[in-house]
Amino acid sequence: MNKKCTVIPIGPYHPLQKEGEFFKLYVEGEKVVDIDWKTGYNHRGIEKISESLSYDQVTFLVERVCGICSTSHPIAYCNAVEDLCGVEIPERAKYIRSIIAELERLHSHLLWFGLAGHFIGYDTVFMWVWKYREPVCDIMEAVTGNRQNYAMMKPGGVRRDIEDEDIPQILKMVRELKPVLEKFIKIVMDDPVIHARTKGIGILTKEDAHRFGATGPTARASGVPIDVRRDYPYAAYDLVDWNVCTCENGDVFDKVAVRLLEMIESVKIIEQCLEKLKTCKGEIDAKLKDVPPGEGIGQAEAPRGEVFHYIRSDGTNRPVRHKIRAPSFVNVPTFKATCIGYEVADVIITLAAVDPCYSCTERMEVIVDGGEQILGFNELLKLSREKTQKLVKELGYNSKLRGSIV
Amino acid sequence: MSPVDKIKEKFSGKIKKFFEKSPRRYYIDIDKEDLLDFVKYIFNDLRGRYTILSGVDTPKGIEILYHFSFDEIGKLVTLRVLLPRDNPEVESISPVITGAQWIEREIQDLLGVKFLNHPDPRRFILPDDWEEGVYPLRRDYKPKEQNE
Repeated sequence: MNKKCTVIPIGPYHPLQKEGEFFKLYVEGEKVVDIDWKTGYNHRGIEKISESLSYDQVTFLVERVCGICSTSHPIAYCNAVEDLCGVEIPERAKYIRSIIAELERLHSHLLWFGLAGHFIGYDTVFMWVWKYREPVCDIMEAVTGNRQNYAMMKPGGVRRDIEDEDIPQILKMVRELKPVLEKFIKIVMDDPVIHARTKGIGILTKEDAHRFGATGPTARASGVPIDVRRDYPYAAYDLVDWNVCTCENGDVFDKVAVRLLEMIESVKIIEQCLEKLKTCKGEIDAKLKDVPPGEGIGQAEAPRGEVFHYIRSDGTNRPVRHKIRAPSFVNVPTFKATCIGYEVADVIITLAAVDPCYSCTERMEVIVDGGEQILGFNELLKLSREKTQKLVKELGYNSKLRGSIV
Repeated sequence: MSPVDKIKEKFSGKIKKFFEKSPRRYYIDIDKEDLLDFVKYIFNDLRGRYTILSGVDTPKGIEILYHFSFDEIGKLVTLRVLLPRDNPEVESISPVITGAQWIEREIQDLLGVKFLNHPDPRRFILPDDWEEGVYPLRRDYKPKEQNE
């Protein structure tokens, strides 16, 4: 590596982040020439702990893999156990699973969208979007009793039912979200500064998406039409009408667009599932007894992509091996393809575009001719915001959002 | 012809065991010497999506499972190789699939499998001061007493 090359360490900890990760950006001038990643800061040995718990207990363990997509892991795990046992869950439980999963997608995408606004210096977007994330958490609380870690799933079904008298209220709250989401889409499509900051930045080509095995919105923004909900139908996704959203360019703008369009589909799915719950009565649990020896694979489409669980059983009440793969594990390596060759100020939004539970920049280390200089996370954020400010001036753009630029 | 049938036809002599668990899940046992041929065919020619690798320590040896997804038809194909516990070595698939670098490093940390010709075989998730030759996902692993 060239001695004049500047190294910018990002990480390993930040309170906003749910997993510690450490990026090293190698920079020549303003241009990123290489990126390296170190992990293990938050390795909690969940796969190992899982081997010491019974099948029912593991559900609550995997719920804690991730604080934001805390229902996709239990769903994928339950899918794996059900695949292993070869059981089908009751129809009513399927709808409830889909409702919880889509509400989670809504709150997770809103959370991400707010943060993305924060990263490019649009703090109004951040406050605004998070305001509308609140009702989603409120619905979650109304349905499950918790804003996060819902504890709704169990192998064979769900643990709590949605009462008939609650449905109209939930429907009303979900429907109120629709105009808000449409407004967000309009803002993103119309705002010249967002276009200037995100179009043509951090492009992931179709071929690179295949090379790295990218999943979820990261792959769909590059025109790879994959979605576990459609390809490996689970819960109620094959019983309701919805579309897989894809874009073609694979840049940051498309990654934003895919997520926003997806939220509209989520609202559609929730509405249909709630309507179906009115007529579809019956059991919510298949009452799984024993788990036979063998192996099972469960997948689920988390907000960030495919969650993959592999279970090996020897016939006892505990898994012998439980492999968990979260979507960021395959999406984060795509930075090798999306960051190199771009400016440092663009990297922060490129890294954020994958939504890798990323927010952590501890300090910035600048090596100039062998000497070292340590700068803070704010320096990098400042770079990103200064670029937005510069663009606003150049474009002579005047809008309500402008007041928000720090 | 579905990709699963194509694999069966092309490698008819090299498949040790073919198991259809369900219409969406296929398990194919192979020799580790044939691994790269299978992976190249599935990943490059059939355009299967690399999903992940799972390493399992079993009484017979260490199993590595290579999961590939054919999303258009919704079928998941798993290749399985068995490695001896005393000297677990297998050819790395990272030169073929760039995205597999991390998981191979993870399995190397947790199960002590050596991936030959891996482009970047550094330690991945274990802490820097973790003892060499101690693999937490092996069956004989005993955690140290907390207050020792």
